[in-house]
Amino acid sequence: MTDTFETMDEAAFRAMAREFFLAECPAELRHVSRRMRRAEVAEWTAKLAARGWIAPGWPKEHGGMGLSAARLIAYQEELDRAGVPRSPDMGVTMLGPLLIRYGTPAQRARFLPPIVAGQEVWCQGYSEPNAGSDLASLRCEALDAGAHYVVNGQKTWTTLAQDADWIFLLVRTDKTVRKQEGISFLLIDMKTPGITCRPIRTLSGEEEFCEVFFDNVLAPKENLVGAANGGWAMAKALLGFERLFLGSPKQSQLALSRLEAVARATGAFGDAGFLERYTRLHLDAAHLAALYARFADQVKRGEPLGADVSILKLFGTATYQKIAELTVETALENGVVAGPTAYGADQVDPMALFYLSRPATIYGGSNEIQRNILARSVLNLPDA
Amino acid sequence: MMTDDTVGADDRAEIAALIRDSAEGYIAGAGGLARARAAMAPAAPFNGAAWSDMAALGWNGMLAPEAAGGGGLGLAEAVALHEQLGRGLIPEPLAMCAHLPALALRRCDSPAARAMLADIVAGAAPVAVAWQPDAGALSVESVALKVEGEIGRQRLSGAAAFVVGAGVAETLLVAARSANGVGLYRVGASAQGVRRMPQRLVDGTETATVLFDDVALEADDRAAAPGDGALALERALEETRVILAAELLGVMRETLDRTLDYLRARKQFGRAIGSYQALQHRAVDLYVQIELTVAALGVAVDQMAAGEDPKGAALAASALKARAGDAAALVAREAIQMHGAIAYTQEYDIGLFVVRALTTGALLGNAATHRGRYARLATQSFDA
Repeated sequence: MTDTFETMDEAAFRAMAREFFLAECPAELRHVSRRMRRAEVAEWTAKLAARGWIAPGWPKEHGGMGLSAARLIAYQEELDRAGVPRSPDMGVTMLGPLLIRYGTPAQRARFLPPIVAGQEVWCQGYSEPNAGSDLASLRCEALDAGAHYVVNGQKTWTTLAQDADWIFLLVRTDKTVRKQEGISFLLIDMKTPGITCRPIRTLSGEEEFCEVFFDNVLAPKENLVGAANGGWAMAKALLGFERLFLGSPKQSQLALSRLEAVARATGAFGDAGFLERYTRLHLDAAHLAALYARFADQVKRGEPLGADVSILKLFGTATYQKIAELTVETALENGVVAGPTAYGADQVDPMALFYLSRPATIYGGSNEIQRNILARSVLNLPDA
Repeated sequence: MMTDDTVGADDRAEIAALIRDSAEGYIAGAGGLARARAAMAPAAPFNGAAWSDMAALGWNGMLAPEAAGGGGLGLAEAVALHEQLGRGLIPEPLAMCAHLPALALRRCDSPAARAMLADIVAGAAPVAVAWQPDAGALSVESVALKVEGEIGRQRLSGAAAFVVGAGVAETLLVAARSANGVGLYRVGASAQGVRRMPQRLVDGTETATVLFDDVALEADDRAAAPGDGALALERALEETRVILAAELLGVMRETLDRTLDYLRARKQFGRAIGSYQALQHRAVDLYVQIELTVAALGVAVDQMAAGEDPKGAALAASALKARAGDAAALVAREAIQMHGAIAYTQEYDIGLFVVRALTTGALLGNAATHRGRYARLATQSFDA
């Protein structure tokens, strides 16, 4: 039946996906605004794996659905529409495509099957305390010790590392060359002695990120991906659909529906000042969706995304934040009540929305970095 | 669009590209910005030769049906042309005095409508459309001009404001209300009882408040019956807003391009001012607004092509005119600031773009007015 994904028409494909999501994903898991933990979504992840739908973008030969760009966008949109929670997906979205492109046959055979089976969960070790926007200045070090690398250093903002079995990370393997040219890509079992994982509690109260410490951690050399000191170029080459989905209008549209629920219940639509601000944001969300559709069409036509796709992330996250801010403001004192409150028939937690929206302009390349990219690569403005 | 049945999408794209090329060629040979500058001079005469030249290129009548000798083209082609006309600051009121009447008249079936369309195609004097009772009016529902008496002995009275081209038009297309609704009538610009009180806009656009004092209408002066005329003109106004937005897009693109050139070339403190992050980030924000305008323009063109749904057309036109008007004004203001004092001189060209951005932004409803209409239409379902 997997042969039919590309030959069936898009409406039929979407209907099939929707039917599966709505039938098999429990309602209490859907449309939850916080990021869920591995254990919470374990049953749902197993169902996805049993259906063979864990890795929609991977080629079938590696256990993926083999979807084209157009079908992949449709699949993602149906996931969003059904409000399906994210299963732990760093292995699927980041590591898998990298191994398929740069890994050895042995690495692919070892690591890809457990990912599509939903059995091994990965986390991404990129950021460090002093390497955020300036990621290439990372210092976590891997010293060549014959059959192993010896890893020392720290990663941080590692999303859900406490749930992960393995970590893929960028490490410094040469300190004598230009900083981008001394970075390698290494895979490490999280159970290896010398690894300490410490969750970070965020403003929203969730333990969404971790600090991960490496103290003389031994990593077998066969777990180096690509050439030594070739890690930076590989990691950069991975930015594909990620950049499109980071600019999806979904978050803004969902937030707008929360704002509308609050405004209806409080009568704010009768206030001219509110209506003006609401309308601006409503139009921003609408035009964000129109802009997203233009980039999605580009991907569907098989054209590569240019640096200009950064405008989606930039404008999408800024819009999302403004909607969240107006929701808190419109709810007045109720806006800062802890936990969800009833607004008409809807339960809304304005501060949860506010918290959730804050890191959006920081992660995935902060909005300041996105503006730098656009200024240099698209507007051709000069370097300092 | 009228051509959809007979012409395929690829052909449409090719036609739009041809029109774009011919517009670029025309602008290159049109004396550059000297024409826009000349049009701003007090009591500048109407450039009839330019008007005829554009008619010879097929532009004046491009939206008139082929049966009337016109191009039979649609909004997509007009948008392609007018983005270029905006870039070149072509001052002749093609949108308001050729396309607006043609878009209304092509929906009318009468000898008067056919005759006026033939004149537009032939490049006869501009046709001025008199309908708007006052600043801020968006809909034909607001028409205050009155027509009384039986056909053949009808009398027209009242006033219309912001009648673009009234001073140079030989023929006015007048929307007037009778007991059965708003009809469209052909009135000679120098007919007995017609009085024009000129009012120039800052970019040189010539408008007038036109007073009609018991003006006699012949039976064959009726272009559209009451009710039919309202539908035709309402739709024509929405489509003309899309064309004006395309002009604004051209204006803002050219303004940003010129500003970026300046940022690259101008040196202070020993480096190009465009290398400063403060200016780079502001330039990026202008680029984002321009791309949102592109997306909104695409949505509006598609919406108009999809059918005659009046509410859908009003929402799309207002969303677009609000975006384009605000974006163009922002780009214009920032262009002045980024150029510094030189931008404040009449001698320097950037000021020409500023006044065009503001005037075209204001015609047929400014951004705030359109946001207001959008808010009313979009939140209708919330009132219950």
